[in-house]
Amino acid sequence: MRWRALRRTILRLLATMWLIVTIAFFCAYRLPGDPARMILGQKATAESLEDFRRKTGLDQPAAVQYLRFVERVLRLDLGDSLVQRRPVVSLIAERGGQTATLVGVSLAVLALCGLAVPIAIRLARRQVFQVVYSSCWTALAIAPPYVLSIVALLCFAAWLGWIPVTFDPGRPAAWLLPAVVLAAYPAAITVRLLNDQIEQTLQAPYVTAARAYGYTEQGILIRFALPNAITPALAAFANGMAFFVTGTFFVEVVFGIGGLGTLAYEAVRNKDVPVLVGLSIVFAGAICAISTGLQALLFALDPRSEGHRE
Amino acid sequence: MSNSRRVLAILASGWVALLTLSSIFSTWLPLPDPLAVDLGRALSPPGMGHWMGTDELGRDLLVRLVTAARATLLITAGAAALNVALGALLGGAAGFFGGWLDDVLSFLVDLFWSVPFLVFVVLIISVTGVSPLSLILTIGLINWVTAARVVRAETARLRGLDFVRTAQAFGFSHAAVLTHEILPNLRSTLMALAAFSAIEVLTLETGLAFLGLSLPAPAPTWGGLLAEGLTYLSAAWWMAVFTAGLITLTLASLQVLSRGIDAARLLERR
Repeated sequence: MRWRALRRTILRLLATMWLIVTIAFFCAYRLPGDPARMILGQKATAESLEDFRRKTGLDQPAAVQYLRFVERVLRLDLGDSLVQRRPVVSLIAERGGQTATLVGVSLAVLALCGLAVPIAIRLARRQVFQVVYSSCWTALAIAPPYVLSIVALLCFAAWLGWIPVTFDPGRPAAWLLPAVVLAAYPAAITVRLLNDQIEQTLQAPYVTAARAYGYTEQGILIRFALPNAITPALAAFANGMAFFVTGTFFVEVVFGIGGLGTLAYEAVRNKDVPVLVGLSIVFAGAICAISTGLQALLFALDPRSEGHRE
Repeated sequence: MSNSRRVLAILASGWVALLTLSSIFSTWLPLPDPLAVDLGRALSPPGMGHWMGTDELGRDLLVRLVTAARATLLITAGAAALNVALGALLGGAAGFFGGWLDDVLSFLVDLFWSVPFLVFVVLIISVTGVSPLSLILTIGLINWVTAARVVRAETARLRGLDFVRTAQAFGFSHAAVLTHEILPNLRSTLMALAAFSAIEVLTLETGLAFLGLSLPAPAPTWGGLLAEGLTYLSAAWWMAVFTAGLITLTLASLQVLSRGIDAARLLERR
């Protein structure tokens, strides 16, 4: 049973990846707009446009172009950057590490602030703290990541002077603020869902029965309420994955972290379409892979959650 | 609804109304030109004459923010309306007729749900070029999934209720049942969806503008002003602070409205 689910998950992931590549192709080459003119600029002559189309295969029928594109992606060849004149893949590989670090630190912050701290507050049984803590995150999450990171930079760098305005990847402490900003939105969701779900479980008849049995409130929390609350919180996070990962765009640009987000920002400014196509595929693929992984984890934790998408 | 919530809801709708009215009538308001350059007063802090200070070219920030609201709100309203309309059409048809229509919609929803289209918006806008229309179409056509799911569930629920079945038993056509029985009962759902969708679209649109993917240079946008504020963060805090405050206030108001409508909707259903 489990193997079948696994196989289905993998097939689904592969199908999604194929779709992503197809959509990327469509967006880049089949939307209204002339890719040759966009790449060469408005001043290009008719001959140079023609020449460019012949060299890049843009004069071929769409189906041929598409097959070529897929074949190149399979060989991990995403073309060359128009501005840097280097393979997109090596650019992405070079700068992906910074983004991966940011996401990793942010996930750690999320696990701490979104799961560990609220659970600790619950165990300490301080209703006031819990309400204040939850409202703080909700308030932070109202502002989108670009607003939040600018305000954070203004407060902590320009006014308080606790961190330097220019980002230094070598200092571990420098990663903390961007990671907290990035984690704000998912943390707000997990904290709220965790609390709601725990409240709901505490109303259940079997919890009353457990109380009558002589379980302590802490014992009930650990034994019954948490296992029921963690899966919905994780599921919500898996669904918010796209927002979380695209948040790195803004956080990186504001804090000046030289990862994939700033690469995308530069590519937008320079109309560097091959880089944007490559980044779209990488980002979309990463989002799908991570959320599939989370779904598999959810299934392992709670087999009822298969296909659970709320 | 408790009293404090009611006050909050009134404040929120007041803010949204004020913003909408001032952006509709901004061309007739006695405001200075948002593009008027005054290099002698560049980067001057908030004070008399310029309540929110000026930018690097001496342009008045308050006027620029009000002017920018026009384009930002137009795109937000357009894309949100397109989202809800598409969601209502597809979700309503799937929920009402069921069968293969429902299967097709479920497949589409699944597809849009599993592919992170958000990532492709940047690519699409870069390729098609920036105009209010391309922004409205791109965001509007990508973001309808939530609306379709909610409307589908609600329509399917309504379809089974007695008053709809009675109308059908009387022999009213599908079109008549949809417009006279289903649609009036979907009104509050659609309003809640519109508010929710406006939050998402505004967040996305301002983010795109922040990255430089919105109306070109002299025309101000909220995201563009925020990006300028980032450039002059240590020299001119007011640019970032007022723009960030305005965006956050608007998003928070929409959030309050969307929660309020949702709460009212759940009460109504009881």
